[in-house]
Amino acid sequence: MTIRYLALLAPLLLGGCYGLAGHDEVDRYFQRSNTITMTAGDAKQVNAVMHTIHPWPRYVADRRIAYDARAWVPRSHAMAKRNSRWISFPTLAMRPGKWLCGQRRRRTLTSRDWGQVRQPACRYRSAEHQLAGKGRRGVGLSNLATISIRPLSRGTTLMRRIMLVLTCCWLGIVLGGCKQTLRDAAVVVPVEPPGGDPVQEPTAVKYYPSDEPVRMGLEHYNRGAYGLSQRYFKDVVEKAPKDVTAWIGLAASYDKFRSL
Amino acid sequence: MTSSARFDLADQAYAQAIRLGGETVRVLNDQGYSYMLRGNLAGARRKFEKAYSLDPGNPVIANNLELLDGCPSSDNLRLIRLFAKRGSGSSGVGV
Repeated sequence: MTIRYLALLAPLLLGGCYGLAGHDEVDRYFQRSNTITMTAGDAKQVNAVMHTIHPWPRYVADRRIAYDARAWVPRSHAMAKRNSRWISFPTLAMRPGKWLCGQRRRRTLTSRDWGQVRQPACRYRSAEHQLAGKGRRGVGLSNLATISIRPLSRGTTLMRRIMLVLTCCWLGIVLGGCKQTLRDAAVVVPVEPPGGDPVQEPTAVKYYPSDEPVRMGLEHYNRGAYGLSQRYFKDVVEKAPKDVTAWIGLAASYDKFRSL
Repeated sequence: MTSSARFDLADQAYAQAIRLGGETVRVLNDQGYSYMLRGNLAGARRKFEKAYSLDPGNPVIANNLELLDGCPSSDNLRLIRLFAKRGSGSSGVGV
């Protein structure tokens, strides 16, 4: 039931991470790998990492530790017999038939059986009380005797698998979208200004006709300052030779200009 | 001492304006007034009449023609130049 709700609410829950995922720190948090480098094929980076000085001894990088895992079971069994009070739950799950009262099962529990191990709430609380009352020595065997295993039906197993696949699909889709989005948001693409290179050569600067010099020339002309109007109109026709108004103004200024 | 206006440059500017925009009323009136300032009354009349034919109701051109017809003497020409010096003539780019 919990997995079913989780599968249905996964998009909503992960949707909350949509904005956080774009943050650099959160992005870096998710960049975890058990490889030496985050990418493959970069020999220079691998070499740099391998030659980085660190305080750890050499054998910490050795992940091939040969060990007989079956040795843990009799050791735990012996420890449990010796203390008769202390046992760890994973060991119980590994060999339930040994520790369940009245049920000696040969089948070893698998990951499917984890959700099927039922502990009555009252017993669990009493176990905690005993744990607190007996100097934190752990859950006693007598309390664990109430654990029972309910055999899984075929339909329930199929339903759980379907829900698990759906959950994985939802996670993949949502996280894939987040990754694409944060990549797009993190990379700031330089936008070229419209019109190409804003820095132009001095010779490439074009004069765009403006009404301001013409207006100033007309104003000075109407005031009788023909020298100034002549200067403005001449400046305009030099930069905009196709301005008819400026040419007429210049000619009229020439007509009326008098120098002393 | 008053020097003469730069009519040669003015003619070049008028010619350039006509090349660019054609013989408009504005250019013709200004050219006529320029001729009138120089004392070329015949040329001024020709320009004014041509401009008035293009725009019969233009009061500025009519005023210029009336001024030209009124007293075609040398005294009138001095009067016109006096108006032009004060900047109160009928000609100009504001036509």
